[in-house]
Amino acid sequence: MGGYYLTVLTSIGIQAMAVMGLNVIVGFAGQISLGHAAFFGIGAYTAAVASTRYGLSPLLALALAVLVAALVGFFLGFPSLRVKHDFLAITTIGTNFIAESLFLYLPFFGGALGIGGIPRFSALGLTFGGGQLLWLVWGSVLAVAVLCHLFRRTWAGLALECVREEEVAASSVGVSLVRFKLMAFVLGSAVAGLAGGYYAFFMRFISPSDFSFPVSVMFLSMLVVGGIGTISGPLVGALLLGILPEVFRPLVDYRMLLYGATLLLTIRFQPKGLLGEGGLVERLLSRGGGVGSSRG
Amino acid sequence: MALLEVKGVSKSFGGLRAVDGVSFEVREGEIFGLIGPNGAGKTTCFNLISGVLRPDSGEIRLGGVRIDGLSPDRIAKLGVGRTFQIVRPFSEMTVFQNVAAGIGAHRYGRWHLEASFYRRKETVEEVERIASAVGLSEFLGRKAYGLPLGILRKLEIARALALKPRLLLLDESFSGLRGEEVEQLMELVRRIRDGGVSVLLIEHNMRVAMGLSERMVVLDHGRKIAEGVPELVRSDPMVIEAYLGRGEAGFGAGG
Repeated sequence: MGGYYLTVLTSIGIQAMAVMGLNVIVGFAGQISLGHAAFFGIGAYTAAVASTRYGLSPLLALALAVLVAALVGFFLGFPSLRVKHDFLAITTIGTNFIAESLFLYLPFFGGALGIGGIPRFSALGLTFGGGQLLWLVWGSVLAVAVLCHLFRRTWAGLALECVREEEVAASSVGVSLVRFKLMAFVLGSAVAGLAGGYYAFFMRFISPSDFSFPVSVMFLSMLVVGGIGTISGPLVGALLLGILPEVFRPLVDYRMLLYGATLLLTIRFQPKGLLGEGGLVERLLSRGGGVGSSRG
Repeated sequence: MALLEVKGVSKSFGGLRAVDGVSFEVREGEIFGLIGPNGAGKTTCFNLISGVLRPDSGEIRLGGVRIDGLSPDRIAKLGVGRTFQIVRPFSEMTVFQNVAAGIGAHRYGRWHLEASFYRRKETVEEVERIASAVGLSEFLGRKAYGLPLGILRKLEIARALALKPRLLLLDESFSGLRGEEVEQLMELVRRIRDGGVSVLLIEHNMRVAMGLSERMVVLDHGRKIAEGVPELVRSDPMVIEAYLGRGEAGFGAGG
């Protein structure tokens, strides 16, 4: 496989993983977040700082990235207990800008120059070059997808759905809104942190603009296009919105326009996403002999 | 013995005293009615008991334990189930999941329990048992969204029963139902009571309220104006005045 395809596919895998984290917050628990790139960035910066400045092994640095992102997610989850809907969207946008400016202005994070010289990922005596990292990333994507699938079947997963559907009713059946909203933010941020950690070891150079607000918009677009709340929606969304701009490379300046158009078309014609209920995939499957779909 | 004790409870919204020094007791195993004209403070009372609102003063006890000021999820776990005047189903979830969510009440908040799968044999059997008692069996696989009001009212009762409550709060569960549905639901409420659950109900339909309640309290403008067995309450001049306005007493006594 050529270097170009390696790069594109690894990058899509990392994005799909970040979107899966966002899906826990938005799709499972119904809490809007437009600041997901902040947690992606926190993971990336944690891994970068830990492995370059403190000489931690990449595996430990990656674990630390997950932990730190989860911890920050816990604290930044608190606004969701106070504000909802549009106001939560604005608050999370705010956290994204704050995170980005901290990366930019604190010398500790390398300022506008970012952090370079990040080592290749290595674990258990193996060093992961481009090809191996691709498999590791996609293996992790698969693992996260399986974990999400299993999580949705637990009592905690059911409680998150209750919070998404009806908060007052949820608390009337013993679901603590505080506990489960924070749980969603912690889990979603942890997954974003993992994706961010991989991003640092993949790029080996990171700078604040990698985690700016448009990245959050991109994550959310991928989720909406693929199907909010579904297990493989994040994957499909990341593949589609990741590959399209590559195919239309001459139009690279219009990338955001493409995202915008895709998003609008999705909302108009596939409101629950391609993989969502009543979406294109379900309709194609049911036409093909009624396999895999019970709903009309 | 008193299961629920409400003592001198008040709640104001700005200058409006929605509930003003209200006291009453619900005994173990009885059906207790909370009635009154629109805006009397009935739903506010429910919200105070279920923890959605915190009283300004007074105390509320369940089985002798103070519950006022606790969060709604804590109160639910202590054994208070409720329905809502304007139904609040988990719309995008199936009826099965809606009822299962109630069964989860005693698992949420405990790491080892909430990390286990909910679609287990015992959960399925429990949901089926509750659904058949309430008359929801044929809807278990359907999404709550778009189901008729009568079914959603039953769904809310099933969901509340699923948390094995000691006290069930029914907020106008009969409104918007057809005559035969009302009869079925009255029968259901009696069966729930016979199963050992105390029922506190808000009801606008006087026939239902009088027919079901063993004792009742009448609220008007946030204050308790009458209390007792339905036959006495029905002929109380204060109650007649609250419902029909001042005028020829006795006119509305038939009810």
